[in-house]
Amino acid sequence: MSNELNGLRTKRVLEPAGWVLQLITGLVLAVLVTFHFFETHMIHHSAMEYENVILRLSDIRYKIMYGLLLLSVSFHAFNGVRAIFLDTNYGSENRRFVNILLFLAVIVAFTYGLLLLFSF
Amino acid sequence: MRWLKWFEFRGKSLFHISYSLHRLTGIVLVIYLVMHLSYLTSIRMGREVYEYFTSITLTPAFLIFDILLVLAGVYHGVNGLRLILHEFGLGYELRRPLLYLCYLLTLVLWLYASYQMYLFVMGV
Repeated sequence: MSNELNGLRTKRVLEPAGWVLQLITGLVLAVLVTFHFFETHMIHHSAMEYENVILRLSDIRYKIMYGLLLLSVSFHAFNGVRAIFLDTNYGSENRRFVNILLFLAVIVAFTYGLLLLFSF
Repeated sequence: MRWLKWFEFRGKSLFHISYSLHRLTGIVLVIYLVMHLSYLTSIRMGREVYEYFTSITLTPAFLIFDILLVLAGVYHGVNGLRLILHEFGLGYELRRPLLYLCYLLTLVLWLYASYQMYLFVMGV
């Protein structure tokens, strides 16, 4: 496949598992982010009112959906940042440090979001 | 610095520009993710704090930021789906038309989403 096709530098700097998970979480996000946008901006004008936000966060179906969204977005975002760092001179020379730092970022973002999700 | 080469557009192909834009919009979305998670903390702090935040962010003046954010999100999503398609060996021979389709879809979805957000913020 041509290198000009998809900027294969991202694929090259990630491990096979990191790359495949980036694709899978990308697909999941395309569906869930679209749903989230519809839910909050298009179904009803009162969707962002405090009571309705609490109502959604208290519903187990929304908890599961938001949990999956949170996990996917935390991984996809910081794995993407990891690829960008690994594509720099600094990142390629300090691969282990970059991997640990961005893995921690995934954990912190996911845990922080879960705390909110399970507050209601 | 290697990453500065993303922004060397002179003499570069449209595929290279798409790649640079994919990473650039990705960075914008990561920054937004951190802001969004922080912003959501206001829900835990009670109705008054949450409503104070929404009184700032759900306003016509703030709409321009939301519209630009949606442009970044739509482009990153549509271009990402194009990349996944090619990764699975699909549409390789149609890569240039698919790239044009990606830009067209981004434009259409962005205008539609922006219009919906305009209606939402204006309460129409």
